[in-house]
Amino acid sequence: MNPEVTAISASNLVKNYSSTTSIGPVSLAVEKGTIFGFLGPNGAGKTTTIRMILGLIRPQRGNTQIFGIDPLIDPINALEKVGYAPELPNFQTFFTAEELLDFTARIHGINGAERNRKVKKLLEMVGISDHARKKIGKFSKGMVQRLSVAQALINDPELIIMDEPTIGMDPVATIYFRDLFKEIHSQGKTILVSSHMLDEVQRLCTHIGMIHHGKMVFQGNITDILARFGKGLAIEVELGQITPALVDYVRKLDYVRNLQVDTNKILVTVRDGEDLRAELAEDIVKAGGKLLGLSLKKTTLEDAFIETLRSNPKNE
Amino acid sequence: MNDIQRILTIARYEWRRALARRKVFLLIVLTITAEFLPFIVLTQLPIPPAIRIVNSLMWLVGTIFPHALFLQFIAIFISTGATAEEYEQGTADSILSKPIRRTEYLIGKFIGGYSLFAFTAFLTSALAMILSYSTFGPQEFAEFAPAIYISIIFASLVFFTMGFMTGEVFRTSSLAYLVSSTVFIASLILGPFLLLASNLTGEQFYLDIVRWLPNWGASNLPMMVARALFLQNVRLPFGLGDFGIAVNGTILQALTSISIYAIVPMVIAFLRFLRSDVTNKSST
Repeated sequence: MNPEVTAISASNLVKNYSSTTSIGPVSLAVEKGTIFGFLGPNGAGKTTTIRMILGLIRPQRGNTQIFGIDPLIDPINALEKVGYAPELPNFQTFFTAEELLDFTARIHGINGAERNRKVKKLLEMVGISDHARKKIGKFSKGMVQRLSVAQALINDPELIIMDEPTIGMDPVATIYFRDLFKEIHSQGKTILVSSHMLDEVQRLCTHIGMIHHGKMVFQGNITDILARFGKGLAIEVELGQITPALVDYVRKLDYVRNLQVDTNKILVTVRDGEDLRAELAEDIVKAGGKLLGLSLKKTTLEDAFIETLRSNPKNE
Repeated sequence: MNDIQRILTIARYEWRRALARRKVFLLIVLTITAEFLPFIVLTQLPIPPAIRIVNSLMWLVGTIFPHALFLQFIAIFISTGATAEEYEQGTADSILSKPIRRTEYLIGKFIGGYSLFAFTAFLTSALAMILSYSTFGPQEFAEFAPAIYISIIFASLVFFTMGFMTGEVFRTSSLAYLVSSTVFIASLILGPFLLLASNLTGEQFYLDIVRWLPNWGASNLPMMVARALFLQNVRLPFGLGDFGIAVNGTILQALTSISIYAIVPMVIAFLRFLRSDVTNKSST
């Protein structure tokens, strides 16, 4: 992997915990300047993979590099430009928010006035400046999450790794942080975000990777992934009455790939990449169908996610 | 930022972290309070003229008394939590995902915990000196107090490092505390039994075992240093010059015992830490 273009490169990471629990081999490449969504169901190995990338867990096989440096060999240079917000972060409850950021800044070697300026700025940025001198033990889950994001940004990192960053946040905060991550990305930074919120990932990420049962199932550009799993565009048709003859007629149209019936609606999957609503409407009317409505349904990340889970059962 | 600055940042953090634990804080307060105990008792008792010479050595009694028991427990309390509690609370991740070497983290933890312990020992020694002067008048050989203090903190390395190692090996502070304090108490109890066995059988072998118990050097070094520096010139009644030393040995033997019992656990703690994963409460 070329460190000029690759922020994270993990190759064939394997971690065995027991005969029944293992992760890998996992290979992952996150290019600089992308927002990489790391997906997977609970227990798939997302957090373990992230912790292997950061050098917190030693893989039995494989290696990982951040900007071309192995964090297990040279953590100072590998992690210098990295910000990490863990899932369900735990901080020392005796610290105030201000003290925690100050402590983190000291580890990063940020000195004096610069440290104070950054602490103040970040507390304002994540919306907890009013609680700067409050003990973390008295923070709500959402506030701790905000503080975790602030901590990850203290060193103005080139790579930000966030494990479920919006867990515990209310919808307003979630939107705020999505915009904040986009803004950070627009400054040329690389972001790896692990999340269960698929619509959030779809809105935010440029690239995605999915892990399932400890193995990477896919990774790449989000548009390519959706095209691969989407199996073409789907058109939702609302009809006055659905008859077997009409369903049979539509199913046999040459541009129709698949058809699903649902009470007064049918979902028609058509040829790749073409919006054939007009043709379909004309054919339905021609066949005597009473057309009430018609809308284009794009394949979502959720569809791809569910399709992946279906096609990769555990025993495979 | 250089290595030293990172180590000192972690050491300062460890002070705050340890003192934020109520049990550590309370034990330190208790130890300092207990420092008053011998002075209150001794001022209330009619001291026979034959042992009034002890009045001028009360600083030594007050310095060594807490070391014999309380300080060892404080050492164990502080060190068992140093790394174990970070795993238990899931806070190790947030530090070790920063640009810091594992060795720097562990050295910082050790220095932080050990300097807090040394400060506590200093407080008890200073308090012993102040109370001795204020309640028993001028003290003799007080110029040797720094040497006694250094011998105390050096001797305490045995149970401090044992706690540090068990904390890292078990990664559960309560289990680490239980194991370390059991070793301390067991060796305290075992010593007199082995001494008795030696007296009954006349076998030197039992005394050799006593000298290799973890607490022998740890408990006796300060008194052995006091004896070597000034007590051998003082005629103390009732064998008080041998206070606390059931089985004699040389200072070199004590230093060797302490060094071995300090170095081996440190090596184990470092190897375990450097080769293991940073465990966390949540990970999938």
